[in-house]
Amino acid sequence: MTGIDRKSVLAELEGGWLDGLEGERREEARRLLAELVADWAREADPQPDPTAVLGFQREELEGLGRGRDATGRLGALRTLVLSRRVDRLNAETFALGKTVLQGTAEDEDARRRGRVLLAEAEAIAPLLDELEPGPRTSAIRRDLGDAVMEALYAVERKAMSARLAREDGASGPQLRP
Amino acid sequence: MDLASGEAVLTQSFGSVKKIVPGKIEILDPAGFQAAYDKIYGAGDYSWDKYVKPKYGSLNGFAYDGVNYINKGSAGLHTVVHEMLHNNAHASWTPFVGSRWNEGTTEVLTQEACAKVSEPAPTCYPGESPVIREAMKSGLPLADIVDAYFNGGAAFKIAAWINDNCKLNWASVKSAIESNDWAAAKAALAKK
Repeated sequence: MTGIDRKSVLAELEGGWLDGLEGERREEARRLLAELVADWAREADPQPDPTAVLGFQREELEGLGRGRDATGRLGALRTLVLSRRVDRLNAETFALGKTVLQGTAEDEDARRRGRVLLAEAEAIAPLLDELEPGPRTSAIRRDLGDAVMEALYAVERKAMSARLAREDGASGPQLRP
Repeated sequence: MDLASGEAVLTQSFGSVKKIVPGKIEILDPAGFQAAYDKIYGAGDYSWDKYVKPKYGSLNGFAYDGVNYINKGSAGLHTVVHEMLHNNAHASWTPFVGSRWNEGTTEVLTQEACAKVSEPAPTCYPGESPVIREAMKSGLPLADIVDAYFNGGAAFKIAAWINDNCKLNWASVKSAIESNDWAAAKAALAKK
């Protein structure tokens, strides 16, 4: 099974998504589209039906951009790309947190990895201020906050995200009676 | 936004399936939330003023020593409903389905319960909950999801159903959703 044709997908997207944008904003949109398509391929290519995966990915992008002018579409692109960056970070922090909880991580290595992931979170955080306020941006902030608490747990072994604590079974957080 | 309202919302929707445990959630106003955080991290490099505020502005929540702390500044009644649902899930649910499927299902159940009382419940898990909706679109009955969530048996009610009815098996779906690969999970859940 071959993966998705990145070049043709990118060219197709650029046809519509760069319309009405000029100068730096056009270049930014071009960079974001390239990053998005590369990440789509990372997700879709190992799957048995990459085209079906691509269909869902495009549907999400189109939904975010539907009815928007050029500025709105650029905002939608920023939102989706950052959302996916946080998803990747978040998957790593959660996996790291689980290894710490399970006692399968080497102590100092987990702390070092936690600090690296915290630095990634710190780099993403200011970019969220450029997003349009709304439920999607709030969701990205919540996900980033969870990633921060999980990375911090790997470094300090104190507080963690609620979802990681739920992995901790009996010692995880309960709603106190 | 209080526990009694959350309990009432859940009892109306799911009271016939499970006696809802109201519990106690630590929902704190922003100042109280910050103080709770600083009780843990206040003395070091990761204190609120030295680290959280300059880097992130704020946080929505965290867990420590068996307690779930929620920042009221970024929560609503739907948050209480969501967190209360987690406390009522069957002990076998999350260990079997995994964290992401759990969050997605909890959001779907939150939205179903809130809709019955016309309470807003925005999509807070835009990756996870659409995957569950996709499974429902392929025919996974909501009643079976609810039953597995509260009473257990997800191996039969969820995983076996997916194995029998969807393009890829439960192991593939779980692997995709646990990696935050939402589109891959949705594609795997297409009808056979």
